[in-house]
Amino acid sequence: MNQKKKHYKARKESKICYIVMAVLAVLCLLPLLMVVSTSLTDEVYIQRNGYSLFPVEPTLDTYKFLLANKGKMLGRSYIMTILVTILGTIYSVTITTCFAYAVSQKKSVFRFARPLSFIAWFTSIFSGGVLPWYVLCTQYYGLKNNIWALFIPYGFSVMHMYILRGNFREIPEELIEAAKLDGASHSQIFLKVSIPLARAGITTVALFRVLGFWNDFFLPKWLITDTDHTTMQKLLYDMLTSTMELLKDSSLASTYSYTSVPAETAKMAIAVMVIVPVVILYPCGLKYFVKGINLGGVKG
Amino acid sequence: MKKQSLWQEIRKNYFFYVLALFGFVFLIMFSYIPIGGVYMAFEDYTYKGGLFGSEFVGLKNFRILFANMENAMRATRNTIIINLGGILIGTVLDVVVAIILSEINNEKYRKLTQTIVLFPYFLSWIVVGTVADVLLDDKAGLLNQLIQSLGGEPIDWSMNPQYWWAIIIIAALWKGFGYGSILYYATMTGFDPCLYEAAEIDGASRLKRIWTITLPLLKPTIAVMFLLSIGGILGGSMEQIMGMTKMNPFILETTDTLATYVYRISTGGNFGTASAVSLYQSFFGCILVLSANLIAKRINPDYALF
Repeated sequence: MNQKKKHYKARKESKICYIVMAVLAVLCLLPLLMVVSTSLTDEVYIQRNGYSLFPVEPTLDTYKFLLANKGKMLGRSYIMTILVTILGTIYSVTITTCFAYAVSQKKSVFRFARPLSFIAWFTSIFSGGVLPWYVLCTQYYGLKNNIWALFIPYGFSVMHMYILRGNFREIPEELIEAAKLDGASHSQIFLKVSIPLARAGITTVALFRVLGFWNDFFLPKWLITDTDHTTMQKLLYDMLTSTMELLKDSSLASTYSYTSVPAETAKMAIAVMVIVPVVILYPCGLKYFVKGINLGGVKG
Repeated sequence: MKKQSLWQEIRKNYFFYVLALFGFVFLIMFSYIPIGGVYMAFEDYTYKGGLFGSEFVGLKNFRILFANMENAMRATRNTIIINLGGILIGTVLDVVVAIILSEINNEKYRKLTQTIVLFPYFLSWIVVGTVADVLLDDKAGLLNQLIQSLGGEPIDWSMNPQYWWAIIIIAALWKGFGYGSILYYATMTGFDPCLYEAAEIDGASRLKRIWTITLPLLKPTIAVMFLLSIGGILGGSMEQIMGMTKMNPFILETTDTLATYVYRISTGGNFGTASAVSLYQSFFGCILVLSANLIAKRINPDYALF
């Protein structure tokens, strides 16, 4: 793709295009606005009038309630999710990058480059299904109700491997040859030449992983049954399915009657807590999400 | 050149073997042993017997599966409709939005709207499920408030399965079109501007330029994206369905997919039947991917992924 070439611009613009994009942007933002404004609304108001698009009498009561009564649970889930996101991203990006570099080599350099590519590709067309995977993880690998269960099974992605392999293959041969002439070993070339030059692709994959781990619900749903290793996504899901169970406990019964527990607004407040880090990370990663992806690298 | 023995070659290039080793071990542990583990579908699985040591029962699990055929067929139908519907409509939507983006000359405006529509792509299905709650709650939901303010009768979304194909597909479109359209847009910026200028001089209308230049040039990208999304069906859509429906039993008729069906049976404790359905799901996905690729190859060998 030639970035320097200027994109063709029609002389006459159509106003409709501007309007359509504005409508689409509003459609993407409105639902999130609804979640935020519900979290800022009084529970009694919602029970009487239903949800509202804008906060009627904005109040932080729900957040105060959650911090006072469920602060420990929330804090633990938050820390667990952050920890899993950091560990998981380092773990999976390392494995995928190393593998992608090895299979990006020519056959004359690394004899098993093609067979290994095939082994990885095959898993993208046939899988053993979730049941054998589940039994292996829980019964044989000990991945149940511990922090490892939340990231170890996501060590490798064929898609990410293709993106990185494409990035490594685009590195000009001359640079590698020059490094070789200077007496650099394979490992020096990998660490000092190839990785810095494939930085855009690696950053992209890492950002996708960060969001993937932050948003993951599959692993906690299958492999976590205790509350000590609940992540934010699982906590939010449990809130959505059984709010009362989570908010009502013996210590609260005395101070809050059944109806004054902010059940609806608490869900939304937790959703906001899940979204905020994504909002913060989003602008930093924006340019990589588009740039680093080379669809051509996916083929072949 | 003298042919090296494997041992010599490993000693010379051991670095690459070490690099590939971790990925290789991972693939064996989490992809290939589970493929061997489909043996489970032919066993009466017990915790004590384990994956390969439980009692072999032949096709008994499949007989149970076929006895409940209507459930498996329902899950298959829903999987196909929800995924294929989403992919087909999604492709059209992505391309249309990409073309609209390319017609906007004001760069700031384009970047701003692009940034906003991309955002939902990075939200989890559980968060989208929260949004669905606010919109579709039977009593307090905003959609029913809107319907009532327009003088209509409120709809009990949580009790009526007939709405849920549309709801789930729309949610998938909402979440995905920002990303899809940006990928197509990025491809379009690489097209030769001379083609368009020539067409403009020849007096071709805007729609004609899109139809005769943009779309034909986009075809290979559309093919790749389409095949990649078909591959995504393989992984199942458990998170989406769970997030959106919270496994509401009243709407399973249209929302129970193969992934959620496997989950439901296995949490019910019936691992034998679940693994039979799971194996069926794997074959189903495999056939889908292979046939989509074959069709692409028939249309144009360049379009195929493999």
